[in-house]
Order: sequence, then C-alpha cells, then structure tokens
Amino acid sequence: MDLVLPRSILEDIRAHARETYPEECCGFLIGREDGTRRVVTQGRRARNVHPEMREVRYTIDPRDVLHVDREFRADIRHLGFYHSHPDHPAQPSAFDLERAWPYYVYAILAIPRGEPSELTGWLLDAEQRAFKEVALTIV
Amino acid sequence: MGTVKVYIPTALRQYADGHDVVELPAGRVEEVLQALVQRFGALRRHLYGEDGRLRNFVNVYVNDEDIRYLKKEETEVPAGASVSVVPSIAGGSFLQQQAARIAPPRRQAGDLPFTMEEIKRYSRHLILPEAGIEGQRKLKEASVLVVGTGGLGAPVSLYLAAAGVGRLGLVDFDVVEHSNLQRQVLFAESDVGRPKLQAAKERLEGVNPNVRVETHATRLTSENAMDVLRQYDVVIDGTDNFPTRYLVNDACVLLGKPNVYGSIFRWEGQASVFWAEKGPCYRCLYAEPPPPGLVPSCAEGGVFGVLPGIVGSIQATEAIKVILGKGEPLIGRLLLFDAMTMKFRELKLRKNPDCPACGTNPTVKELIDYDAFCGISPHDQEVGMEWSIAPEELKAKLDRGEPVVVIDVREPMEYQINRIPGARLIPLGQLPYKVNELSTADEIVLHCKSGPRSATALRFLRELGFQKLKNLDGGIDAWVERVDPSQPMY
Repeated sequence: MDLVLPRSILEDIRAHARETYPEECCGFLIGREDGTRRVVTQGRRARNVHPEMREVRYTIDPRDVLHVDREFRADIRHLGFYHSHPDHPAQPSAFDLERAWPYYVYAILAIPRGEPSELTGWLLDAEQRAFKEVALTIV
Repeated sequence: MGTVKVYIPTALRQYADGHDVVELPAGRVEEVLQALVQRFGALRRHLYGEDGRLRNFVNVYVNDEDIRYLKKEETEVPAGASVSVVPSIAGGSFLQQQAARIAPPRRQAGDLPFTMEEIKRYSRHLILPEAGIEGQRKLKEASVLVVGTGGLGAPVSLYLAAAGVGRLGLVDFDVVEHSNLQRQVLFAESDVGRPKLQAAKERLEGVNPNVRVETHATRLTSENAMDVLRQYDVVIDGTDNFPTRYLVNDACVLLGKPNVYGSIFRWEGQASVFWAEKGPCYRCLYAEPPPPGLVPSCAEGGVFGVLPGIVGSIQATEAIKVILGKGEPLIGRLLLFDAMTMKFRELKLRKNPDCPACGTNPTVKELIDYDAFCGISPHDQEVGMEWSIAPEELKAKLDRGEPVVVIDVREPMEYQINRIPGARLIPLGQLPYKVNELSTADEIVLHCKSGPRSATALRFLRELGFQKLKNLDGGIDAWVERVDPSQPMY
C-alpha cells in the first residue's frame, strides 16, 4: 500500500506540530482509495485530550473521531491519523502499537527541537501484531 | 419491533463484509452489538476481549451520546436511532522504552528451516560445530518454561530469547518494583509499577521477535502446575521460595521433564540439572525443606546484584545443552559458587533409592500441599487482630509518651536505612540470646520490614510467656508510607 500526500497537507501537519511543540499534535487523514494507493485529499486537526504527559502521549477526542467517521463514509473516507513525536524519531512506539487499529494509516512526524523533520507512514499487520512501513509519495 | 442503524468505522469494515452501515433490531446496546458480532463473526475479537467484555478501546455512541454517560451497555436504542462504533485513538512517542515491533520481511533462506533474517541473527551459532544448523533448528523447535521472572529469570529468559528458543513461557504474578532493578536486568526504570510479565514480554520480543513469548500470570500451584509445565520441554527453576521449588521439582519428576535449578543467597549460588530419568532430583538432595524462617529470603538477607546474572547464565547454558543434547550437563552434580572468593566447587549427587519423588518406590504420586509440606500455614504471616497494631495507633501512643518498647527485628543494614525513632534493634536471629534483656511487664511492639519476621518473633516471645505484645501491621514499610514518608523505603 502506498500513501499519497499533497505537499500542502504535509505543510499543514508540520505547522500543527510546530504549534503544539513540545506537546504532541494529532489529526485525521481523509481521502480516497485508488487501487492499492490511498490518496489523502484533506487533513483535519484534532484535539489532543490526553490528560497528562502530552509531550509523549496523545488521545484524540472521541467526539472528533465520531464526527469524522460520520462525515466521510463514501468515496471520500476516513483513511487514518497523523501525530507528532516531539524530540523522538518518526518510528512507532510500543504504545502506538498497543493502541493501533487495523486499516488506518498512522503518519508520524518527528519534530526534534521544535523543527519538523521526517514523516513516515505505518500500517498495522493485525495478524503479526506489528507495524509495516508504507511507501510515502509527496505530490 | 423497529430497527436501528449500526455504523461501522472504516477500520472494521473489512471484518463486516465491507458494510459501512448495518440495520439490526432495536434493543439494548449489548443486544444490538451481540447481533452484530453474530452476523459478522470476524468482528468479535475487535470489539470484545477474551473475557467477553467490550474492549476498553472501543467507544460506543447512541446517536451523539457516549454510552459511558448513559446506561453503558444497558442503554436502550430506540427504533430509528443510530449506534456508532468509534475506535478510541491514542498513541505517543517513547517513555524510554523501545520502539514498536516492525514486521521484518520474511524471506525463506532456500531449503533451510530459517528466514534470511534468522540466518544472519544466528550466524555465530550456525558456524559453531556443536550447534550448527541442526542445533539451531532444535532450539527453534524447543520450548522452555521459566518459573519466576526475577533475578534468575531475567538473564535466563534474555539469553534463551537471544539464542532463538522457539517458545518461551514465563510464570509470574508480580509487578516491577524499584528494588528489583539492582539485579533484574529485564526491566527498566520506566517499567516500575507494570506487571512483570507485560514488561518482560515486550523486552524479550524486542530482543528477538522470532520467539513466541507466552505468559502465565499466576502463582504456580498444585492445581495448575501440571497443566502449565506439560506444555514445555525444559523447565527452569527461578523461584525464590521452598514451596514452589518442591512443587516445580515434583511436577517435573511426574512429567519426566528436566528441571534446571538455580538458587542464590547474598554472595553464594547453586546450580544443577535435576532430571529423574537420568539422575537425582531436588528431593534426593534435600529430602526435607528447612524449618520455616531458618533460611532468610533475598528480601530479608540481601543479595549481590551480579550473582543472579552468573547463576542464571549457568542455567541458560545448561538448558541450551539439554536441548542440543551436547556436552556434559550438570546432572548428578551440584555446582556451588561463591562470588566473594570467586570459587566454583562441585558436589557429586547420587540418586536416592528411597527418594519419595523419584526413588524405587515413590510415595509422591501427585502434587501435594507444598505450603503445609514446608511448614508454612496460611496463618503464619499473621498473628491475629488482637496481636496487631496499626502504624497510626503506634504513632499516637508514642506521641502521648506511653512507655512502649519498640523492638526492630531486622538486620543492622536495614536499620541504617530507616527506623522508628527510639526503636531498639535486636535482629531476629539474636532474639533468643537477648530475651533476658526484655521485660514481660513492658508493652512491646515488634516490627520488621513488612511483618512476617516480627510475627515469628512475636510467636517466639509469646511461648516464653510474654503477653503484652503487638506486631506492627505492615512493618516499617507501612510506617514510612502512612506515618513518616520523610524516610526512605527499600
């Protein structure tokens, strides 16, 4: 599976991560399935409502999830999520894995010292209970 | 009866034959969801845990309301309403612990029973004449149960996982404590407070994702031991108490399994391989357990932190030799190690023909009550309510200036870490010699770290005729926690 992300949406995610640094930011990836590719057409910010330690944890307000899931159910659908890793690499953590759902793409943006760097995409292999990295194309 | 609409999130549609909305009869939330998983069986494990309860990470909304704020699963869903299954989304970066497991590409290495990755990983074994491809295959097909993930279990399980033992079982029921970190190298600071098995599984799978780590979160008992041990080829005894040690031994004898034994105390350790089919068992060496309280535990007597690393590594070595069928295992030999003098000694062990477990006419034909066998009655830890005093009550008495004699029966090193003001130190072992310094007329409060040693002291004094005795409930641990948090705990 390949993830296709327009540069403008990448810039929005980077801006979001800068704003919330040193806390994690999080949001939705919305778009369409195109064969084996998932093409993101829209990003949407979410609130990190994790009660503590938001530098290393995020929880998306479940109401935001409900609304996105309701709003995008047809051709344009809810494809996944993004979140930032302040001062940590763009690799999924054990906690990311513990809380991962199948199907969704999880994009992770590393933001060392407040300046966004690498973005990676991950998909849960539900059988192996492990993440697989997905190829990312910025258009 | 009308129907309700159930909305399936994109994440779960693949388990619902691609449906995004399903119409089901109205009813309570639990009825609607049960009807849903009955129709799409594959959905069940994503919505319900093994205990049959709705998973924590699944939110359910009726129209726009989270059912947690309604009547939970009892919430009525009226006809025409909607039910939304909403994934709870969370994650985050690193709290010192390792990254998540990333599935390695699995490419088979020709005709070999390994993937390309495994060939690289095990290369130093594969070119070792005594192991080789055949030996490594034996390790991959082998299963080992490690009883206890403490000082010994930590190095044993790390080395066995690294060596590529196919299936590794762990038995423990504790959580990681700060006092474990001095020797239990499986755990990190960030694991403190977590169940040991959860932390151990993560760490071991991090070392080698090819190993299947199975966790048995239970205290091993006469009821469950046979069922647990039966599933493994080799058993490692990493226990810290006599009842479990005899239990593991007897179960291994009954099942015909090798028992790789290790034990540690202060600066000294022992190791052997007990395998009744080929040599003596633990009961041939120690037919009877020592009287309770005679041999202090590591929690009472201390233990040199590196010692379990050495003894556990010996156990891992022996387990691997047994699996490979190579070399001379420690069958019929007891290895004694003293870290202070850095000396190894070896005792020859003979199979005892009169051994109740593995002798010619064994009397142990099934597992027994090992607490009773070791002289530990369930009441041993307690002395009864009328003989106990709560830390707050003792504090009040001392504050009022009542003439209470507080006797600390711990060891001097423990006394240096924390103490109750005015307490007199008489280590348990010296109490018989110092008893004439105590008066039966005084009101005496005894304490140790958490209670068992002072309970022994109390019973001893009571038999001598002392009546005005109390045991400090929870020991100095409870005192520091509830009365004087300015002192350190250990």
